[in-house]
Amino acid sequence: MANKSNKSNRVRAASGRTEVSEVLQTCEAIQRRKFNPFLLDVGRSIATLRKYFPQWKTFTDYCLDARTLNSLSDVIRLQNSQLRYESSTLYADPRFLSDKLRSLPIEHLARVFLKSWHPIVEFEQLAMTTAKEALHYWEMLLPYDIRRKRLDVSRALIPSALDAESLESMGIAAQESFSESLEKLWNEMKEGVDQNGQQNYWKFVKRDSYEETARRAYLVSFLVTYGYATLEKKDGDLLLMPHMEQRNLDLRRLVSFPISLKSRLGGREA
Amino acid sequence: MTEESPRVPQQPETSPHFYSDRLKRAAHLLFFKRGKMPGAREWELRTRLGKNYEEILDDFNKILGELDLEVKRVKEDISSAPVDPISTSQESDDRFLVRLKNEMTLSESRLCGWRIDNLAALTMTISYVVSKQGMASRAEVERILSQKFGRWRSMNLVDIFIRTGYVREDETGLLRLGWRTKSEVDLKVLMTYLLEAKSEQSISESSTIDESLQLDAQYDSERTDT
Repeated sequence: MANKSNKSNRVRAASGRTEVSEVLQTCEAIQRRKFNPFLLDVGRSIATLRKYFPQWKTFTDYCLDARTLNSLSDVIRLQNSQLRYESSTLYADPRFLSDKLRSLPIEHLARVFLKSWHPIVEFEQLAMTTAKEALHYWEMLLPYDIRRKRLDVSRALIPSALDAESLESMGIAAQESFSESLEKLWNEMKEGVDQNGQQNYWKFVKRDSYEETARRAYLVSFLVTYGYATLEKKDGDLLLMPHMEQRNLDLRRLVSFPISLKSRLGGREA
Repeated sequence: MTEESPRVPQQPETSPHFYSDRLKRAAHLLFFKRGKMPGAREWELRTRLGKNYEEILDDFNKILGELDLEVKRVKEDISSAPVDPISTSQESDDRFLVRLKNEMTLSESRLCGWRIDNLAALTMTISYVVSKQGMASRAEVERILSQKFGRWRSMNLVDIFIRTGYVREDETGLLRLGWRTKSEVDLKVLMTYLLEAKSEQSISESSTIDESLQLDAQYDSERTDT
């Protein structure tokens, strides 16, 4: 009976060690600014420590317990500083800020910096300290080969030739020329018209995939611009009217007409 | 022909200033870089200029103000300063520096040897570290920089910022704001301008919507005319 209870105590202590170690790891990750300090439920973590404290028998276990408790106090300190920081004027959500930084052009970022920058005026002169600093820099500078390793640059593949099929599969080369594609689509448009000689733009352009729809819309724009078809807006519908022959258009009367694929297909915009 | 000696403009007689010699000494102390960092420490100024060094610095500041410069007092970063266990002194040991009072233009910054790219990268680095409460991992900063400057360049840029004192790196690979950022950059102004800035995408989106609406209206009017 005693053996059984000893065994169960050992099992509990082992699972306790795992749980407490996990709490400690989370605390350390928060200290390294990997997570928001409020992600950790401090009350629950303390309850975990309290739960397993009677199981500790060895010095290592007590040390683990003490380290975890110490780390938890650091997390509380970080939570406090986070609250103070969020209420300050300097507060900016890191994710929002990194999105903003990505979207701002380089010159704009430089201009923002110049508004807040007051550079120090200093006259450089060679002193013993600066000479020592320069020497130290060159002594500590790692060879280029070692610095390069940080980039994990793998060796480039040996150049090889690509055949036409590979280029087509990669989308670099087209199976048919551009003019052939235009002619094919023009014929398709002429075949699909109703008794009035017109057909709905979206019905003609829309296909299963977004890429194919965008490609057809792109080609139709050329057919309309070059006078192979006319695009008209009637009762909120866009109608295509193919001509049997190319028409000469008055270039001065041409207007641009943007059509958004996003509104029809959702997601990406043409 | 007689040669007339060039006329030297008569300078108005000024009464000798009480601080004149000390002002010069203050200028030498603040302008010339003696150690690793520019400027002078408080104890240096007290030793060389006397107890009323703050008055001398005020006078010096007035003179500098006419040249768009100012004397800036920077609090010593306690965490970065070496701890002297023997010293019992409780006095502050701030650093005094001379810096530009107002803004610098983009062309002026180029003349100072700063590339626009580097200034933009510095903005990104400092603002990101500020947004992470003054401490961000170097890898994260490099990742953000690499989106605009490439991976290799972003690593070099971070090295430059560390070397020039804008950020400092600890042994765990965390970047913190350096002494130069604290001395030169008005963080509140930087963050305010950055958060107020309109992104390139939102500018282009609004302009495209306006253009399409205009074109649509133009097309409709032309159709009704015909």
